[in-house]
Amino acid sequence: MLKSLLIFPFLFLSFYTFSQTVTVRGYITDQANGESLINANVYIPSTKCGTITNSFGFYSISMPKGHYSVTSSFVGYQSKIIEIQLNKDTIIDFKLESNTDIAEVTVLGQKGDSKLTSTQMSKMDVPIEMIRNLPSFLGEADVIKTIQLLPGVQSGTEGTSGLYVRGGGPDQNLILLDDVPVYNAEHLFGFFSVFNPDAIKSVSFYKGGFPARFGGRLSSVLDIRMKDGNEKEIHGNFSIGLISSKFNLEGPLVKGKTTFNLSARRTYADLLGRPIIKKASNGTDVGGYFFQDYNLKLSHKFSDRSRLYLSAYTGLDKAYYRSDSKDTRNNEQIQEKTKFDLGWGNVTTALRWNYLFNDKLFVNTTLTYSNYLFKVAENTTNKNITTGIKTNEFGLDYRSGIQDFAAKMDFDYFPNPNHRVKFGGSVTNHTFKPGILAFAESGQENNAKIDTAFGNPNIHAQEIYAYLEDNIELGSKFSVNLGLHSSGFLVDGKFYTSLQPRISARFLATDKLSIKAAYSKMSQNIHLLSSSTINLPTDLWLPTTKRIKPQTSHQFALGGVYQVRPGIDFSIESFYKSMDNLLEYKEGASFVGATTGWEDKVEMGKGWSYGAEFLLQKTTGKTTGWIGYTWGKAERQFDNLNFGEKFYARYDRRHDVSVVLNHRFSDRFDMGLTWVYGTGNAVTLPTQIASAANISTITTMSYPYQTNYEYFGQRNNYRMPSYHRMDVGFNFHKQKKHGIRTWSLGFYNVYSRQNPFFLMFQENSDKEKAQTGKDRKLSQISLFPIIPSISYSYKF
Amino acid sequence: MKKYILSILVAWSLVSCDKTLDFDDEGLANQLVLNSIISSNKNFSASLTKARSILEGSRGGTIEMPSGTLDIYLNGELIKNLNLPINFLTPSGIIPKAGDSFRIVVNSQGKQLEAETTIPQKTEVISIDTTSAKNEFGQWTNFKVNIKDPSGEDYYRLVLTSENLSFYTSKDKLGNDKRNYTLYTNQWLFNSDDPVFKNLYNNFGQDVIDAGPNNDYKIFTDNYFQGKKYPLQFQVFNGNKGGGGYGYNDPAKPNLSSGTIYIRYIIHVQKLSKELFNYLKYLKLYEFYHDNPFSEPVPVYSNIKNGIGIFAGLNDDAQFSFQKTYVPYSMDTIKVEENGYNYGGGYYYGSNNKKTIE
Repeated sequence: MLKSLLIFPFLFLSFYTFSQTVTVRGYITDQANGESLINANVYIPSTKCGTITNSFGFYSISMPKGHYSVTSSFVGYQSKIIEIQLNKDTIIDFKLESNTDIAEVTVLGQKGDSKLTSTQMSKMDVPIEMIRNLPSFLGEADVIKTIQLLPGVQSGTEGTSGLYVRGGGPDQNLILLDDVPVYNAEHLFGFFSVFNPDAIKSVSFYKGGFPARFGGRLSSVLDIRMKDGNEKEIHGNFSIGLISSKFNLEGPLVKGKTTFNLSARRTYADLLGRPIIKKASNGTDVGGYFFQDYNLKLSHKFSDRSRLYLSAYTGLDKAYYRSDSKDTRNNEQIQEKTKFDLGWGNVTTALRWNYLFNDKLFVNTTLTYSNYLFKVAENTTNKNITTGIKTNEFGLDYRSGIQDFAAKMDFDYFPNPNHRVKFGGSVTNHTFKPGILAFAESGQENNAKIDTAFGNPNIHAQEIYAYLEDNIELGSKFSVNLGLHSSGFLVDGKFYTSLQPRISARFLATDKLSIKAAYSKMSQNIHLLSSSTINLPTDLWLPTTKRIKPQTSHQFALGGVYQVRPGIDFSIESFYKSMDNLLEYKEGASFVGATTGWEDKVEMGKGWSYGAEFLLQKTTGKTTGWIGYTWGKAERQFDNLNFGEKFYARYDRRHDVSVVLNHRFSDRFDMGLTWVYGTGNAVTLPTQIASAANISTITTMSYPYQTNYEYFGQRNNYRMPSYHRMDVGFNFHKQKKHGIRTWSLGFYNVYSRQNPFFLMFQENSDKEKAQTGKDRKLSQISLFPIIPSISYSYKF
Repeated sequence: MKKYILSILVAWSLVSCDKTLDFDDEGLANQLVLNSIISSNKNFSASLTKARSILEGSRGGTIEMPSGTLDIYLNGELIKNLNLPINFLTPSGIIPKAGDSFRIVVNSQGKQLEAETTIPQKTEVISIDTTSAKNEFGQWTNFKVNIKDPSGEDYYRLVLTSENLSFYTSKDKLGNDKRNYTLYTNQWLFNSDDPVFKNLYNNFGQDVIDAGPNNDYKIFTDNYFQGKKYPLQFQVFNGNKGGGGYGYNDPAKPNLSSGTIYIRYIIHVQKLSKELFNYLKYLKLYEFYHDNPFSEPVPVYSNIKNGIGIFAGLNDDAQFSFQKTYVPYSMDTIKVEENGYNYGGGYYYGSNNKKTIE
């Protein structure tokens, strides 16, 4: 730690040794729509120096005066080479042409930055087109479910969007939408995620080797960027699927200056079901469930040096019921009105301002707002219409959630070709809302008037962090990314601090083989109180307290990348992650009930995981995709759980295979296929019955004391049957007068594998008892057999 | 062709989502269960059974008692070798004393089970204060038992029992009335708001929904008073005595055909080994939560190496009697028979102190 602190000043001093250099800077964008390209490469073959664009498509590279070929490249786009005589600082904006089949294109400048040459390891960029084209559940393309297909990522229970990364928990993932944390990324109990692919430009996923600019979670960072909007002309698309419809519209508001991108999605099962419910209830009842998402992004270019972005997202899940019935009692007409709403959703907003101080220093200032709210409300009113008197009214309102306001500044400094420095800091004000229940009752009938509220008051906490990282090229073979993330968390008068060193290194053994290693220390100051079996909207984010310490982890990774040929990489990564201050429910505790005294419900302990991940990935050509395999082990040890003995984490999975393929047969037809296999989840299942010791006692229930108990050895002692599933999807495109229409046909779980959702013992019928001689049987409940889907979309 | 494909798709989608798994229940039921709770000044006993299939249901099935050997070591020396099968009624002729360390080794069915425990020292009771109280339910006796906790971790259990002498009338060979006297022990419920009892389980929040099980075993640790004196407080409902229809006789009516003539209440301030405390704590948690699908699983504690069960010691020497009601006859003049009754309901349960007094 001390050494790395000492190294930094020397590195900064070294910047000034390049006084005779000139700087080339600019943006790399998509030629068709002006969208900035993130992590695109800029490479100068003669100097063997290169850089990549930042999150806003900006790059800067310095070199001595002279004549150069400057190459720009990006996966899925044709490379561009510019010959230039550099005598002074120069702006070169690259506009790359998309080419979905660049297998025939000579890919130049691959050394600028690629999976092979990047210092970063344990990271994957998933093209949004890939996400769109893969088969999906009920035809809803899903970012998080695509991430679940990556090596080192487990998916939790059947059909849900939980992420369990390298043996970590579902609360240990930092999900960022345009730099704003999204606290609940799930619709409908996790069967769908909240991200509408139409609104998304890029998806980057980190599961280790975390750059210093990220912090606050132990296991992964999912960095999602929304599309800025086409700066040249109005475009859009809409689609109609089995469960939802969506549309996207983008274009310039002021040509070359201001753009917008607007997306909306809504399910409509409730709208279709409404007439049926109404008819069944003689017109008195209405009810249903839906979810919806709206994304809006505005960007404005003040000048080459100054740009402003406003991103907003709001999503909602809502179940509702309304009843309005009239009845005649004692010749008086009585009306009863009931209103029930159950809803949850996120609102995120980011206002970002990019400013280029000089050719080498780029700054992004961000103000963010994030709010997650869960709400239940019920109101019942009884009214005597004849007399006009309200006889009784009952109301209930429960709300919980979390709200953040944050400000941060991120600097990108490009002092010379061998250094790419990032530094910055952030301040966040968290308001945790552990749940307030308001209850009111009034009326004539019971002569009662109650108006009260109980629950936990809001908890306020302040979080700050600062970071510094430098990506250093040490010759042509060796590069290192040194970083330090420092954070502080103030809650309840207690200030927790954490210094988190980060280091990644790459050694280019040959032109086709690189060896990489990384170490990250991470700290997490917030905890998710949730059930161990399924994520629910009632799950609560709660802060570190005086009793509950921040979670911390140390992760080591070692691996290599072999470039089989341009566009095809084979990578191996091994990792070891240790985690402290993890939370688990106490034995017998459950998520049911209020959160009063939540600290008493949980135990703190430690965990560790290790494994190896293998990935063969093809990113260019007609066939793209990957084959991944993970061998992993995840264990936990809590002093007060399982009698202090270690046990397997719930999503410990020994073997995990994923095959993800996308093939474009022609401009009119492409198909996607995914196949996954995973060792069965570990569950706690009693396997035998033991006789208890003979101990006299009496109980308040006055029943005889227990004489037998079910024995399971240890937590998560039993493996469910293995999980495997194949999905296929076919996309039929046709050029129409104003655009392209696509029919998508998909089959989820194409061979209808009955995958386990949960196991339970059930009583045998008399016939079964006679056949088996057993009182009970072990049953597996599965959720989804083969599910076909169809959708229509039109892109203009 | 299309028709066939469609039929297959429809058939697939209608496949039931519930299926019975092949489950090797017999193979998994492979553990031997060794239970032995030994008390100071009481006969050492143990039982060895075989775990049963989980598919038999939690209360059903036949208990198999495997054969083999049981070696008992006292303070490191082998003092007894018993041949199996044994059950909890098997006395060994060994009477444990405070401070004795026992190790047992069972060899059976190719397995060697081992466990160790120590008989704790007697609870040091300094004084006992009682006061009477009355409320709408009846008469209560409030107890304040002052105990002195030694240094180190200690585990306790409070038990209220009564020794009962009852009689019933039968005919002898000549057809004359004959009174038969029986001495038996009951265990009684008592109330306590003492935090040492409350804090064992009811710590999952204050919400009613989150309330944990009752501390029916009335066990507690010395966390709140380690190494210090502590006034343990509880209340006994005097209306209990003679409950369940077996009320003690009124001396004025000596001609009843049956009744209870003698009740002596005994308070036991037991000192438990850590193993026994954990066993009772988790057994209760298990009983309370194992049917709740939303609860985290609760394992029952075991200290048996290579097996399941419990081998644990307790010291039951700290007993005191606080009430003795109605002894109308001289004990020398009556013959008391062993009682075989087991009362499963009402306020009392069990008959674990069977005696025959001539």
